Amino acid sequence: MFSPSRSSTRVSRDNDTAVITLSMDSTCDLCEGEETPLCVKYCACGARKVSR
Amino acid sequence: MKPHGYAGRILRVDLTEGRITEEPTIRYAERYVGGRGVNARILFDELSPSVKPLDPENMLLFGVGPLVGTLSPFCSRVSIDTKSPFTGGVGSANCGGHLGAEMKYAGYDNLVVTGRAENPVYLWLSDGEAELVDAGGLWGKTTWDTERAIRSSRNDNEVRVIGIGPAGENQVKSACIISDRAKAAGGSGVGAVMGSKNLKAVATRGILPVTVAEPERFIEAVDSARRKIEQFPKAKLYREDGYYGVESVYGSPAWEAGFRPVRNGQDDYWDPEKIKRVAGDTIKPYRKKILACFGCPVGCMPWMVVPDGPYKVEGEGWWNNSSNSFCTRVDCDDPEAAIKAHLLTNQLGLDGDNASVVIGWAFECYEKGLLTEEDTDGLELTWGNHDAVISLLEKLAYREGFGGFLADGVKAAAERLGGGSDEFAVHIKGQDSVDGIRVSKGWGFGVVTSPAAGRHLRGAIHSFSPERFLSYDSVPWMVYMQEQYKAILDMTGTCLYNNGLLSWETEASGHAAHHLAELTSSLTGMNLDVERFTRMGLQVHNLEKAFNTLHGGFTRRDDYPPKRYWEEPVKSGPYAGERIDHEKWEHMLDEYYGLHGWDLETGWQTRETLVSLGLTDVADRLEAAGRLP
Repeated sequence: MFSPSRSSTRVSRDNDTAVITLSMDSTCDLCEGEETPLCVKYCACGARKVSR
Repeated sequence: MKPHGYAGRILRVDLTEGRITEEPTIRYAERYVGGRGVNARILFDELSPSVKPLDPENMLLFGVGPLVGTLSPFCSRVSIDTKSPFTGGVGSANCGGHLGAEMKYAGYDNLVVTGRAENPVYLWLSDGEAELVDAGGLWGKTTWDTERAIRSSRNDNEVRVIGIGPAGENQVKSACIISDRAKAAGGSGVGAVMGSKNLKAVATRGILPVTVAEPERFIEAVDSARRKIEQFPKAKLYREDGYYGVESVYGSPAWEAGFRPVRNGQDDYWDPEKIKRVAGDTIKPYRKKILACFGCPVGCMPWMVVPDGPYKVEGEGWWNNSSNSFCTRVDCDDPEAAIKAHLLTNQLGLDGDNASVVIGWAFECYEKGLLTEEDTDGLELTWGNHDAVISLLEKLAYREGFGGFLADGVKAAAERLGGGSDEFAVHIKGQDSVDGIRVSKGWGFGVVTSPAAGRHLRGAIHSFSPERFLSYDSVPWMVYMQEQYKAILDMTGTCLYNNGLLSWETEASGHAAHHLAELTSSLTGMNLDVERFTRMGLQVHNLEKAFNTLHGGFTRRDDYPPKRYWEEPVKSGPYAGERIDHEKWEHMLDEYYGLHGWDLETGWQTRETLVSLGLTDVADRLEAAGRLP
């Protein structure tokens, strides 16, 4: 299912400046068990990256 | 249990009574999928032809399709439908952004708004709850300030807002509805209808889930669509420069294909030196970022900054039509003034396409001596006077002085002024039409026959190759197919502008229908192959056509181009002398009506066609009104 309530990350945009912010909460485990975090794999713009 | 792919509920709001009720989406979804499809059915069923567009009884419907709010690419669109103040027929507009997904997460697929609130209100949607909130403090504010104020009062910077500016409040016919400060649901006077209801905005925030019928199959369909988009040769360029930046550089055939009429359509060719000053490559330095709607892998909307000077401004938006509306149409070649004008229309809640037509007409009246500075509040309406364009946008939105004279559209203004000014009042079925139609025949035929009246978002065929766009061959067939495909896009909530990236190897964007059928089937569990899906598209198109016949009284004579484009040829450039061949237009209409199974003489639908589409009840209503051949 698609549900913001289950997401550990959030993208928001300041409409006065066009600054885009990605935030993640403490529940994010980078999709443990997956080769790539799903939000990175399916980021429509290809903007999300993992830096370890 | 709610159906897969849907929020599950349609919200009905009676503003007069302050009453809010709900009904299940599934009641309509199985036959009309969602978005524009559901809107069209409800509008046809429930609105009496005796209701006038700005009466409280008119309906204003917002709809998102099942693919909105999922991983499906390009799926952000909201369809807004009503009875149009311009035409008295169907009014239909559409915008992207983030509101559609948020509306679904808040628990609603469609909103059906009727009545008129005693005082200004906005509709708040959140996690399955709906509430009408006093908007007295918002009335008079621009769309940008309205969003700021609602977000501030909710203490939440992620609230999504769609609403009207001063133009909608003042029921200016070219008023649109703006989402996310920049995404315009333009045309059909939808903003004027919203203003007539004292409804300032819809604001939404939600975290409710959208479930998937067959998750693995859906993900496979998403991956397949994304692979196709990645293979598009210009995918990287589009991401970096946006659609306008890529396709509107100097030398692009788009400048010569007649899409951008010059000086109110006196010509379809613009001085190359002027083009250079506003072409995509010249605009580039003002573009600081490319922004994307929800779920869009491309992004086409630029963040524009004019850093200083008299046109200092910053905000989202500059689109293909901007160089038509604020440049060629009024012969203005100052890029900073044009960017200012575009962003001003977003703030005021004006549709630039509609507004620039009546402004261009006023300039031509001034040129011909039909208007003087005494009539125009002292404004000198000479071609290229961009300051006058900006002043008129403000006056129009507030119905101030000469702006009030223009505020009911070009047809009404020409009727009031007289003096032969109707000869160059460019409207189709009563709606101001910005599109050039003499050079590109598929584009023109689609614009003129559109149920939304003079707009390019139905059957218009987009081609940049002269051997295609100059030809009349196959135009009726291509328009007929595009109409069905566009309906599928609007039923599912998919963006037209970038969907060509799902079918880039052909000239027929409808070839992407199999992607949408597979995405929607796996998401919802409905068995939608391309054949069934396109038939649904035909049903929706026919519902709108029937609405137009019943409410607008349109016939074959309403499917002809505006007088100027019917009689005057293009004056200069590579396509000088190009004009609409009257005999070929008649043949195209015959062929087009024949493909649809409509009556050739009247242009009306036949009982046989409507019954074959499962629309017997529609045939019955048309027959009762004496509108079946």
